[in-house]
Amino acid sequence: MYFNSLEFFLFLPLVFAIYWLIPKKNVLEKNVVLLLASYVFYGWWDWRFLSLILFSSIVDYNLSQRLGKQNDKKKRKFLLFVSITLNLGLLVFFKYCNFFIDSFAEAFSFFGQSMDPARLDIVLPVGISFYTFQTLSYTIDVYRKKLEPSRNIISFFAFVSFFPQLVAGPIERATNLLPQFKKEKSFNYVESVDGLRQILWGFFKKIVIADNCAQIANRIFDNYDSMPGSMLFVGAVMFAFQIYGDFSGYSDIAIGLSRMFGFNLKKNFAFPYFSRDIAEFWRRWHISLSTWFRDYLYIPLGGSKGGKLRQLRNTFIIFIVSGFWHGPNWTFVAWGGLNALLFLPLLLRDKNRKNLDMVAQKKLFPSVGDMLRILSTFIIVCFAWIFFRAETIADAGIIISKIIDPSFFTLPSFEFTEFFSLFFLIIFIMIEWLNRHKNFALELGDSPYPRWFNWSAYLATLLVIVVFAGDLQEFIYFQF
Amino acid sequence: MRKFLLKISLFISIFSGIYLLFFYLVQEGIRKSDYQDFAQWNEIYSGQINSDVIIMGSSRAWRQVDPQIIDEKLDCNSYNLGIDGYHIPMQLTKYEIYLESNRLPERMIYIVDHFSFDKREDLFNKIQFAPYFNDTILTKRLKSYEGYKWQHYNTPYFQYSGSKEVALAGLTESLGLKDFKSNKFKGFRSKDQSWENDFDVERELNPEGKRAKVKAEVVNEFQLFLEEQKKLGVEVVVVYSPDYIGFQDYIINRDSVMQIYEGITQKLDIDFIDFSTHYLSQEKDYFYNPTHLNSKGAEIFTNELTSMIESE
Repeated sequence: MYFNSLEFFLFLPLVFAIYWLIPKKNVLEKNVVLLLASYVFYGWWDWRFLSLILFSSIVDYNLSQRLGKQNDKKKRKFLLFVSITLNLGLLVFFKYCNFFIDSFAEAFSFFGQSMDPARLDIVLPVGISFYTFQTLSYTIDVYRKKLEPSRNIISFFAFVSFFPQLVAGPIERATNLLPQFKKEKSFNYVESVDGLRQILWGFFKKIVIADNCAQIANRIFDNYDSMPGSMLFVGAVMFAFQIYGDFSGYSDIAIGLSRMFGFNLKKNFAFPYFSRDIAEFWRRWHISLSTWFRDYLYIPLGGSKGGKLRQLRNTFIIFIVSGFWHGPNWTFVAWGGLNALLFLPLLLRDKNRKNLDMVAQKKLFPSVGDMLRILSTFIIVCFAWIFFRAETIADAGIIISKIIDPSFFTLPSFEFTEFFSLFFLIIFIMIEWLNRHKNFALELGDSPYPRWFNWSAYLATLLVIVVFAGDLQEFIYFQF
Repeated sequence: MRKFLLKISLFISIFSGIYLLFFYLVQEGIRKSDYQDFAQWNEIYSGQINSDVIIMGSSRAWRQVDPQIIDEKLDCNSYNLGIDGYHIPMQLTKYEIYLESNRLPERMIYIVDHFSFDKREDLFNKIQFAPYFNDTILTKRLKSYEGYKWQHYNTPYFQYSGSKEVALAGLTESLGLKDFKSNKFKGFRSKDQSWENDFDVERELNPEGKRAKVKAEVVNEFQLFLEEQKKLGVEVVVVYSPDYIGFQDYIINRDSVMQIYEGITQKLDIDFIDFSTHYLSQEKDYFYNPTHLNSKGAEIFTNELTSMIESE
């Protein structure tokens, strides 16, 4: 079930009403409602997907119980190994199997041997990468004794399948989310209203910004061979806002929905396009995945300990694995590798933790220096996005070579309706800039405006969503 | 919770009011607008056409048969009901809608081709139908295609979602801020363009040619329609419009399609004019693609066609 579907607009009030009608002491019943709702939500795509999430939940629940009782190091390691193998095995089978078959065949053809491999007819279950990582982190945390294994099967199953963040994150840690399923919950007016604001802003980002930018980006990338460099650059910028609006919009909706049900999820985006260097960008983009890789891959590999060379190696590994996590295509690997390369100068000069605060604190405008740093960071991020968006690495190469040829200096041309998209994009960037110190741009906080003004702003935002919706596009991150 | 529900209800009520007002303005604006294809649909629904001669067909009708020439040569009032991108079923629906508000024509020129007996699965340019969901004849037909779903028919404004330019056109028309002008004359608009090379590329890609789809239910629907028109006293002439000679052998089953037309027209004793061997079909200069005449070709074709009808 998509958030931006009519079904969801019927589903949500129903689940919300049932959930809050249950007295606050009946934690189990509340979790049963959430669990059933999550299974309906997920099964709406394809009921067969439910078997996977059930399998993953059963495996990790049982293994974690055994881990909790086991003190023998070797046996604990073995149990962890089983969990990782089964979880990653599922992920690799459904997501990467055909990729490996094709790559194997290509490698053979490179040595003059032609192969016509049989590909598997596999449907990629939506959100598999997200919930696999969530359950993995749970078992690893139990193994590391950071977390007691959950004794309540319903809470655990509800944690794995929690519908607001099930298919596209944020990837929650069991240490943060699981205890929330065990607490009594009373309805919180402020949280619910602010949650609704966050949902509204998420829909604006997705439907008005991402879907409209997608129309321009698709027009340009689908015809890249006949586009001048200037248009291809515009295409990369539009894709940058498409993917940001799409993914951070989804995260806002997920976090807002969770707040309505009394849960707090972690922030996933923190205005990444206002970053002053690539390291800051990665601290602000898809935070839940970056921190996952930091905690479960980078640090176990040694992190920054053991010298510069090891730090560089580990950085490259997490960027490349992170790229590959996005999908079975060399373009994602190249995107990850390119980001690691862009990171390299900062690491070598120990400047990767320079910009930890938000730019231009308590000022309306950034300094000229900061402005230039923001722009240059945004431009290199856009170049990296070209690999993410392109069908093949060769396509990305052609696009970049066209951008840096003289046709870059021709005037880009837009269709009439695209000016609306550009207009709202500018408004969007302004709103985000003015509210960059908040958790999300529409967060009320200490709003200096009268109530009627705020209400008018919400009504106008909702009307703009209805009227200026782009062609409905699937959330990009559902495919990952 | 009570405060939350009250505020939410208030917010939803206010928004619903604004939303419905907005929908009303868009819908009413579009229903009186000459913006794009709505101009023709509004003309049809207004019941002010009442033509003596109706031209039917797909884009081969609205791009190629000029009512102005017919009016002058046959001293009548003609109108082109051709609908872009659709086969016979939707063409017949458009005519049925026309008859809801306009009188029966005396004569009908039905432009056909080898594609006519197909029925597409999706709706092409579906936004053109959005303002008229109150017409059951139209919605019944629309539901036989993929494109609009339950929510589009039953939720205000849903049919316009994703079509911001149409919504704005309707709104500006309603508020009197803009007066759009129709880009067709009596349903006709020619294309002043020389030959496109797309077909040459397609031919290279498919050297063996292509098979035209013929659906039995569409053939049957067409035959029943012609029979009915004949009974009603409408003088029908079926016209196979020119297609470029270099294209004719590209359609593998062209002869069998032609036999269907000949069979039906002979059976019902209806005139059938075939332009396949006409000199227009021999020259690329008259076409902008293998199945569509350009302005120059359309003018000659309408003149020739009118002369043939006049002489019969």
